[in-house]
Amino acid sequence: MKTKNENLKKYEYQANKYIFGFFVAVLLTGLMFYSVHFKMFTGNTLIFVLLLLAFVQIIVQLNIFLHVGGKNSSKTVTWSVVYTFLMSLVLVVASIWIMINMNYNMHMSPEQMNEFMLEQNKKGF
Amino acid sequence: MSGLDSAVLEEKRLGFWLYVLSDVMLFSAFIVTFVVLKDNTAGGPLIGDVISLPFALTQTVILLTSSLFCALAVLSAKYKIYPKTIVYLVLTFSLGFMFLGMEFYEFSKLIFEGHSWMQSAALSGFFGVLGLHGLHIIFGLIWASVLIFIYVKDKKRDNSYGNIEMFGLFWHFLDIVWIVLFAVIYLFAVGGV
Repeated sequence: MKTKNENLKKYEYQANKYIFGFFVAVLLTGLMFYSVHFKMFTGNTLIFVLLLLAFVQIIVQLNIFLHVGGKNSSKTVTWSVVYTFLMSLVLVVASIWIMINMNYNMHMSPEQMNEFMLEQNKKGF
Repeated sequence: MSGLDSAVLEEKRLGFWLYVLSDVMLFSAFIVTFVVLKDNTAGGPLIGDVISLPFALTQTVILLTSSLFCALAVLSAKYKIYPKTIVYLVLTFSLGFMFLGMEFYEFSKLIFEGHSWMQSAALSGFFGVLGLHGLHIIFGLIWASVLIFIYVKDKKRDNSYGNIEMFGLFWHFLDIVWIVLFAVIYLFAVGGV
């Protein structure tokens, strides 16, 4: 009977933790929405703020719901997550970097590039 | 705790994590495709002009709530409180289904207005990345209904803890991906960046 009560306590403790995580996630989502809806930031500041809020929310969800980086979690999983995050960052940043410099690398102005693309498009595959 | 040997469970967990992390790379590729193409509208509308932000916010909150119920379902299965597991799983499923319905509504509305993926590269990227996420949700819903069936049927449920835990992992992962999509697609487009 005693173990049953202890189990129930553990269950409730963990459930409260999940509910707490849920409210933090909703709060962060609300902040993201708020900063766009009421036009608090523009341009690069907005990008930075949104990515920061998304990043914080990802960390919170990974830690609370997926138990990454907790006391009893596997180190292999935690470091795999970190590694995958870095790899996807390389993929994303490098792709964007190459694509925004494409006009320069092709020795064309944006208008010339646009015409070139339309010309290529007429040829089909 | 469960019918499963904990060493076997640990192996399952690592294997499933490897799948999830490779899926992260797949999503990164789709997201970056969208980001690169998002201004190539070929004379059509910008993404920010055809989507509705409050609609997407509702979707986000629905998916977050579904994720919470999923976590509670896994937890109650761990402590063998099976009636709760079934209720939470049904809630997870219904909210996921609502999310999918909303996405379906948004897609069909765009297509009927003439803004399908054929109109521009930006819309191709938009439908591509959201469609990929929607497909994952569909598989998640199929998985959830199988789990509901198992827990209601009451035969193998002591051995199913590994199954439901992996489902939880998958569902939370989809939730996290959606947060990124919400920021990068909806908020960036409406914020004009």
